[in-house]
Amino acid sequence: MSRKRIDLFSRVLVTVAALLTMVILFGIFFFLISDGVKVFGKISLKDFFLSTRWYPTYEDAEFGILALLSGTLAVTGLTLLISIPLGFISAIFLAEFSSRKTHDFLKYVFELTAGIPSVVLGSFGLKYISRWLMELFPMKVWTGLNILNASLMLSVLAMPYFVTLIEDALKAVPVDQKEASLALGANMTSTLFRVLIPQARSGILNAIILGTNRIVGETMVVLMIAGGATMIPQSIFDPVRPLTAAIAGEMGEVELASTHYFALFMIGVVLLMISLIFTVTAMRLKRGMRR
Amino acid sequence: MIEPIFKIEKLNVFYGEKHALKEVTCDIPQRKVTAVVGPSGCGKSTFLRVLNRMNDLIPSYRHTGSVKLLGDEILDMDPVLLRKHIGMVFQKPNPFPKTIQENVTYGPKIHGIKNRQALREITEKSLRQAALWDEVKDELKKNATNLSGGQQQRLCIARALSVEPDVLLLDEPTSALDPIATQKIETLIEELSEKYTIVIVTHNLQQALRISDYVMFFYVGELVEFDTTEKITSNPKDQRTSDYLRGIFS
Repeated sequence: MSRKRIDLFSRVLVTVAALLTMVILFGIFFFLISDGVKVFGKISLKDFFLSTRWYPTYEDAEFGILALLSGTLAVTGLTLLISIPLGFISAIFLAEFSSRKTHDFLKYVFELTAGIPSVVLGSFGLKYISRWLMELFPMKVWTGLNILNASLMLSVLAMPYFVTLIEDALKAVPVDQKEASLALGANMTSTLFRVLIPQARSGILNAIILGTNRIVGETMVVLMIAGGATMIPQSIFDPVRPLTAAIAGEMGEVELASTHYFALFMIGVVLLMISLIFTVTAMRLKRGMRR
Repeated sequence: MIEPIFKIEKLNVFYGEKHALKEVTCDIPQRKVTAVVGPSGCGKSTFLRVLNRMNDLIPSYRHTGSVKLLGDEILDMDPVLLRKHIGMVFQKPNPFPKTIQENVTYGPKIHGIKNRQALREITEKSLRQAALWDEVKDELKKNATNLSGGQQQRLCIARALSVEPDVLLLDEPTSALDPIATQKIETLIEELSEKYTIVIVTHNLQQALRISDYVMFFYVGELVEFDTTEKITSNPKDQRTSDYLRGIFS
């Protein structure tokens, strides 16, 4: 085959692959949304989004997702609170303060952690963390399956993302910037906070977006150990039923083309929107930063 | 010879197994321009980076011997303290992606100067010393990355001068610049040598001969010859030096 033909062939291949990805993506959007909106034939927008009553199998079924949404937000929020600081500190340690050996070892550990199946983490939370929480906070905890339990396990899941991506962002800052700062008599801490982190911020933000999307979408852990209660949580020891848990828990038994069925699809759309809003906001922020 | 600022004795440098500098002994004179020359890989940059302990960043690096700065042993010194006395300018201009003013005040701020008036004075003084003030005085708040390559390099010199060092180390400061920018930097180096000790690594032999008072010639990690520029050019003692000067190897 001539060189020109190989060139043409690879160009066609790449274009087809790109188009295919787009078609699949928009296809998913389309089917999800077209099924999801049908719920509003039976339920008003207000009842769907602003009611906390999710009783899909009652005789007078109710489909308010506010409690589910608050469950997702609570679990995600607490997970970020735990895993971002830890991930950030670990990334800084890996990027600037660890010896080659420690670095490689820890990196290996994080890679292994990233590979733990979420169902295994869920089982661990179910059997051990729930018991430990009951023992540690006997006055406050009325079920071991709650926001804190889920957030702890989700943090194990999310931490490797944050560590790896934030470390990459720090390492992507040119070495000459670090040298310029050190050569002026700055110590490593000042260099880190005044030069490296500011210059890595768009990469760091990127890490946070990817990690958060991962947490919002994670299903198995919350299905197993978030507690499953449809209520607006008052404390981190309350059980909740995040959006993903509702879909996964109920989709298997739902009657096809029922209101409940469409409601679950609409929840899928809501999840998609959360992730979309989050990503777009972060992209805006990033563009602002570059200026 | 003029009072030395650095007294170096039996300096050996290793990167892992590699013996990068061998038994270097010399005195670097104060307030003079000393050019460090030699073919690629001869250890001249390594030598420069011993003087402000920049090599410490490399994990496999180690050294033996003695390097004294005005009588103090720098190989045992806290590198952070040492580097306040020794400014460095790198091969590629590397301003911070901050404003021109913030670039110059970075060092003084790190060392605890907070007074705005004082910082403004340092900015003007340093930029004047680096012959950049007239070009940028109206745009101190502009991002430094918008400057031309030559201006960026002079800004880096101003940044190095802002902490009032005794010594200025220049690591091939003009190799990324065009001839006109290079010439400006060379003139600047001559002016600065009245107040500062300057050690410059350069790949450009003509440049070394133009601007330096002393020349150090390194060859495969060895300091072959160290003398006044005049003596080195008129009467090199070592065959390798005269070969290098005649361009037999570069």
